[in-house]
Amino acid sequence: MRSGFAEILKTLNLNLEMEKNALRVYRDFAERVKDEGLKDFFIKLAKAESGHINAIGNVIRMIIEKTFDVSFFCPVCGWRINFGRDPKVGDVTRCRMCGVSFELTEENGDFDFKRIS
Amino acid sequence: MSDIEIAKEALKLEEEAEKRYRVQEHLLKDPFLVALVEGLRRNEEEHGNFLREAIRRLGG
Repeated sequence: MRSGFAEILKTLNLNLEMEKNALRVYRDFAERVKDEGLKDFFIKLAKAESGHINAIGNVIRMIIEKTFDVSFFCPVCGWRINFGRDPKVGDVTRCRMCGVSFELTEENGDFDFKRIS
Repeated sequence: MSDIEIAKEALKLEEEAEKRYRVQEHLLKDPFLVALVEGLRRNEEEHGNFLREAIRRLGG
């Protein structure tokens, strides 16, 4: 399990299962409905759920392969603070917008951060 | 199951997904992931709106 992403990976995997279930259900519904407009819509829905599955699956893969930046919203100015793709607890980064510094922490298997200046 | 019952069943799924993503939007701290679930939530919301309209059209 990739460290620093315990809860996020759990959530994303649950999302993935939900979307896979929806895809299966909508394909079945597309076969069963008689109304042509509804049939077309369920085909469109199944296509949309396929897209969701690909999007979520790609993010999970990026996290596991460490090609996903560890980033947060700056609590001071709202900009994105970025610790990079394979950071370690204790790494320090500075918000490029407001200049405040933050240190990467980890709590219960999930990355977090704290302000240090 | 009639078409209306199927549409209502689908609406339930879409509403559950929308609610799930809405909660995650507020819990996640990563800007990229927040944008991802926001996009998913909006999509589920659109689907729900279409299904409500279809249910009305079918007389449900």
